Order: sequence, then structure tokens, then C-alpha cells
Amino acid sequence: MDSLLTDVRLYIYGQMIATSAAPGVPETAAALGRAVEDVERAYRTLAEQKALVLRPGTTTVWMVMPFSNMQTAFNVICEGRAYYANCAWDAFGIPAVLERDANIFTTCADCGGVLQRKVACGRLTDSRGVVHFALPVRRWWEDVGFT
Amino acid sequence: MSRGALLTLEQTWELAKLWYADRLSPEWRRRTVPETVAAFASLGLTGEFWSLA
Repeated sequence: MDSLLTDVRLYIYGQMIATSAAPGVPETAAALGRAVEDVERAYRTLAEQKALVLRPGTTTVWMVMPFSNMQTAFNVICEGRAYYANCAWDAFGIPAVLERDANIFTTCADCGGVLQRKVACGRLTDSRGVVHFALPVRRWWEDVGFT
Repeated sequence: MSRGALLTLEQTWELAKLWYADRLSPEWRRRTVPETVAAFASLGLTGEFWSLA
């Protein structure tokens, strides 16, 4: 991955972690001191490489895995900040990426009840429950929003 | 239609740690297909559902 792609990718992650929102192209370009056109191209290239997902037809970040830049049913509270995750796997991915304790909130797909699970000191405090993966791996990127 | 796969929360947590461990590294790159299959297999996730062949 070339230098600009790495810088853009890490800036997006840094801002997502610090603010719970992914930066747009103009903000990233200004922060990195690079031309908007170059950074826009970097966003598109990172999406082609599946390093992130853009909202269709835009350069707005939708997912920078495991974080979601849009509201989802998977809410993760970590170090006093709230994040959205893309799915149950990614909800656990946030404390994995941040290497911090976290509380994960979602709703049960069966009964609709609120579910809370906690990661503390690198371990689950309550491992009751299962996660359903609907699609086989080879189909995950056919429609990653559905996945 | 496939019924999908069920993972325990422990399996999901282990998968998350494995999958995202290096995500903030400047050297991060997307896993190749063999690397992805090997990562799943290291957690016992094998078979048609977890295959990329």
C-alpha cells in the first residue's frame, strides 16, 4: 500500500476513533496537506481494495471496518465514546482494534430484547448467546451492506 | 437456501481479535484468499460455509 493510501487510511481510522465519525475527503486532504483530487482518488482506491466501504456513488465513508459511519443496531461504548459497528462480529472488533474494555449493545434477532455484553481485560464477561452468519464467506462482498 | 452458520460469542470474540489485530498498523494489508481461509481454519472454521475456493 503506497504512502498516501496508508496516510489516508490511518487518518480516517484516527478520526473515527477520536470522534466516532469518518472524515470527508476535504477534511482529510487539509489535514494531510494533499490535493483534494489525490485524496479522493485514495478513498476510491481504498474502497476498491476493500480497506473501507463508501456509500454508493459517493466518496462518503460508510464502513471502515469494524466501525460504521452510519447508525446501526450494534452500539459499542468504549472509553466513554459511542461507536456503531457494522455487525455482531464487528461489534467485538471494536474492542479488539482499540484493545480496550467495551460494552456492546444490540437487540436479540429472535425476541427483540436488549442484549448487552462486555469485554473487560481482553475477555468476555458473559458469553451466553450466538451469532448467526447468514451468508457463506464467498458471498460476503456481493452486498456487504446486507452481509 | 443455506441456514448459515452459528458461532458462539467466544468464537466471535476470538475471530474479532484475530481479524482486527493489525488493522491500525501502517503495514496492514488485506488478507489473501489462502490467508483468509487459514485464519478461519485456525479457529476451527472450516467446511463449505467458510471456503473461498
